[in-house]
Amino acid sequence: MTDMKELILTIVHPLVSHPDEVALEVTESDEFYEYHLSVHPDDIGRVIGKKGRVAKAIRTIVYSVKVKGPKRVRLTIVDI
Amino acid sequence: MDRYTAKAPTVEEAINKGLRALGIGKEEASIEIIEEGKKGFLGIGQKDAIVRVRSRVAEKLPEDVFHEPESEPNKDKEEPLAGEASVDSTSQQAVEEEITTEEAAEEEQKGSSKNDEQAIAYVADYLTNVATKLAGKATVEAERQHKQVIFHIQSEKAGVIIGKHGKVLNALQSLAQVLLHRYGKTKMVAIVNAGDYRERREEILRKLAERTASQVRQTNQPVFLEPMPAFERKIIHFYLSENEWVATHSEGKEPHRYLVVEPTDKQI
Repeated sequence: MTDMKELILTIVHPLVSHPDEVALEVTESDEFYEYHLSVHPDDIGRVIGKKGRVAKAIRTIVYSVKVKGPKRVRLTIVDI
Repeated sequence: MDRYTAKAPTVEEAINKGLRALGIGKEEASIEIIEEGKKGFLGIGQKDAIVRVRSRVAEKLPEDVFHEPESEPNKDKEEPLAGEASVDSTSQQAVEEEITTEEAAEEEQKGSSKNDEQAIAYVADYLTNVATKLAGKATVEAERQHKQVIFHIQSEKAGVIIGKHGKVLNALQSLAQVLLHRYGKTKMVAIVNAGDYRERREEILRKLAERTASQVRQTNQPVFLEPMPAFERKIIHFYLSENEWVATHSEGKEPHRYLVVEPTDKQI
């Protein structure tokens, strides 16, 4: 699962202006591997983008990766 | 140190930052605004303000520094603040914030080409990193044609990078676009290609356009195509614009906008 984590971080880091404040938490539920991405409050807009365009692009790439087992990946951007 | 280039969200903050760094008061400094910040919307289009603060006590430069050739040696001094062109000027009598339009234009010109190249290199690097994470091994080549920048991703597992119907490739393209706009000064269009996908896709779209047009002519009924991204619809619009028997337009909202091919009134 480190692969997935690294992928998300590689995608997100250059998009934000406070790369050191990017945090990614992984939890496992019945159906999903849940990735909770939290960024600096100023950067939330950057990872979501106009009409969620950036968030959608990130999700498309992340979800395109094959995961072993029946569980799927879910990426949530944590909004405070 | 007698000068300092500061970057902050607003001009005011940048000036204060510069003054603090030099440890001088506002009266003792001459301030030059290099770039006024932009607030942007939801963090998009946001740009930090950049000001150059200079201590006037330490500044005893002759007046004609202004007319010196532009290849000033003090370039290296500013290198850390990437992308800022270093056209120097001694606005000695500068009362406070001063910016001459002439200077700004010059600055812009010199800065933009250098800055654009950096932005392109940065985005190419970004795509390499992401593609490597996706497909194991990948290289990215950037090619600039005026306002268009094409990033060619080469990888053995191109399929992974393209995705179903080019979904992943299009996602990479929109991310590249966002970054290119953020770091580049001129507005450039990012195109991300893997292998010969875009060329192949164009060929497919051309055939689809032809097939659809003849179908419309035969049945005299409009045909609704699958939703596709704007630049792909554009290709079909373009091909069918030469066909006088059919008319095209798009309906629906992004990202589910689709193209409609209808018969024109020109029927025999």
